[in-house]
Amino acid sequence: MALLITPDCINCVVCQFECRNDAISQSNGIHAIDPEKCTECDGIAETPRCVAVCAVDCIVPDPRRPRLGTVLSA
Amino acid sequence: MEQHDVIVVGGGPAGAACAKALKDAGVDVLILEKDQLPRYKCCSGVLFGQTQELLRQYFGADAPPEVYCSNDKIVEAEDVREWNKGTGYKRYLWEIPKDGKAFSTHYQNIWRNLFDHWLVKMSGVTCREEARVKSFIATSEHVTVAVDGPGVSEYRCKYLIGADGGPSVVKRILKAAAGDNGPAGASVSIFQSYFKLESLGTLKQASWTVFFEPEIGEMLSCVHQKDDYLLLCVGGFKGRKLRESVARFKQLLADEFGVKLGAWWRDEGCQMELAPPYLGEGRTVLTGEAAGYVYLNGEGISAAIDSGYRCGKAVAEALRSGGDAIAIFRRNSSDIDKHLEKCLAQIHFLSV
Repeated sequence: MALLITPDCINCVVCQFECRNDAISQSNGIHAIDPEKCTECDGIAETPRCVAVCAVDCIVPDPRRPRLGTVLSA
Repeated sequence: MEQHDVIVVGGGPAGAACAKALKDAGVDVLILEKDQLPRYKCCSGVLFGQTQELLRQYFGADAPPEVYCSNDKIVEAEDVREWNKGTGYKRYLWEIPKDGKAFSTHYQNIWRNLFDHWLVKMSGVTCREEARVKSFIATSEHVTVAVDGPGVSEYRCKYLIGADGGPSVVKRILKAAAGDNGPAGASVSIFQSYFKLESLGTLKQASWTVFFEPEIGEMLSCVHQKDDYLLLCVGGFKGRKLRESVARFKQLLADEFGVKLGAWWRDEGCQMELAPPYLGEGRTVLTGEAAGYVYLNGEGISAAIDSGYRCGKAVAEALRSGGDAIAIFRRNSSDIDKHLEKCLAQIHFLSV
């Protein structure tokens, strides 16, 4: 499971500071989520912390990294 | 492990002013800045009259020619106007008198990357760049700070000052330690794009035009020229797609004013929290926007410089007297709080 940042991102940096897994980084003004580190805040928060603070709602589930339950029901 | 009396986190105007006050009082202080300087900042880059006075008062200087835009150096207050299709132009108020005192109405159009870098140099304090605070532990005696980046990875200080802006890491760590893990309170997000200017159309040269168009954003939109670029700024509440807002704003400027824009140059985004001031706990003190000091309609530079300097003075006094730095800071900045409340009462930046 992992989230990803869509091109709607305005690079406000707020999500980066919220992440407990150090999964969000910024390089040349572009924000990205490391899918190896992102846990979608499983066991930490009901809504992923970055999603909760994102002003432009640009953080969405990564379709290439579905939650296990999604795979089983597909 | 490196030791200093005070570590200031953030090399913006709040941090620079705070460090200047501490150095003026003979305190050993170091600034930690997360980026490499000069760095861009999400800001219109206009120094209002109060900021100009604070620079003279605390730094003994005016902003130097090299930090100004090379054309339209001054925006006159009377050319800061809001516009709507029905009624046309009217004056827009971005600065109000403080403590009964009015300020210069000749606003200085500057580049924040150059201005901030100049100001931190003017503090005379060493600024370590690319130093990101990862965590800290505060006791009643001192604060131990862990830092990422090239160089020293651990510092110890008597006071840690978070002058690290809206998304303050120091504030977040402090709140997490107090068990407050919730996301920030109500906030607006701000997004601005620079485009190469081909024609201002009917927009006045050296003006700053403000719009209240709910279709663009819940916050005002505004436009002014910076050198060869036109700066379009939009803002909204959570969920507003601000890149779409910029596209709508471009369309409005083209349709109503005949503005012609060329290639996109750069974007800047940020969030501004709308919350009462919070000055920290014990030996961890917050100032500037990290503490919630932002004046009318999002103007943060004067509030940052003034609160930063008072914060530095308060911490210097606490070091001398053994008193409570936060209590002293609160006492010596009551006029800033009063002005903040006055600004809140007069704020006019939402379109909904």
